[in-house]
Amino acid sequence: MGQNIASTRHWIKQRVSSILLIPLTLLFFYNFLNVSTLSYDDVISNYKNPFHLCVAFLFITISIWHFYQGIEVVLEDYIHETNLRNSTLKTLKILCWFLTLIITLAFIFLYRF
Amino acid sequence: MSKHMQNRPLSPHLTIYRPQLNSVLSILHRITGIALSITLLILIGFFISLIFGEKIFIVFSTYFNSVVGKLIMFFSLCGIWYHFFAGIRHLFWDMGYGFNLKWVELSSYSILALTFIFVLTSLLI
Repeated sequence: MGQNIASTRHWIKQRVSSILLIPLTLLFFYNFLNVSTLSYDDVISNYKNPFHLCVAFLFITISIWHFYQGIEVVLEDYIHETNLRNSTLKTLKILCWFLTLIITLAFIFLYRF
Repeated sequence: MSKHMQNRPLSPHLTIYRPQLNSVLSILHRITGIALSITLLILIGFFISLIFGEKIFIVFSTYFNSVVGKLIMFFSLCGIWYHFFAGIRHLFWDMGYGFNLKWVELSSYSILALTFIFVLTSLLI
């Protein structure tokens, strides 16, 4: 029973991140594709705009969690050895938290530039 | 589970199927999803390089604008827009729409067409 509830929650969380990423992907890339070819100062001044900064921050962080939710399902399908699967997932979870922390710090610095 | 049970072959036996549009697109969703994790790391690298100042950023953007970098960006764009549209179809399936064969076929071609249009537009902006 506990496993069922966990699976349902996982399913819902994955849908939530998917739906959030629909507008965020469009907004992020519409801006980013213009920005990525600019000079350093122009890129910095682009992300002075709080809207672009927020969109980029949300896009990256939610993508990290969408990645984790996706890879969880993939590993469940292909790694049948439970211990190996769980330790891989644990490592990836730590990595995801680490990336989230780094990117949060990066955006705080970017905002304060 | 006993050893005997674990080693039983899994159905479906993918290797004996003739590849169909639907099965290819289905596995492509997964492949692009996995491949996009590399794109995500590059994007994270881009923003981190920004805060380390202009010198590091220039190193990063030179790499971005090299042939290899451009190829990676091109495949990333293909992956992003494919995964984007195929993902939206998955959401419709989750709500219970679009299961009949005619719609599945139509949406498959729509996904490919939209991916093509969006990649092209992305390259032109």
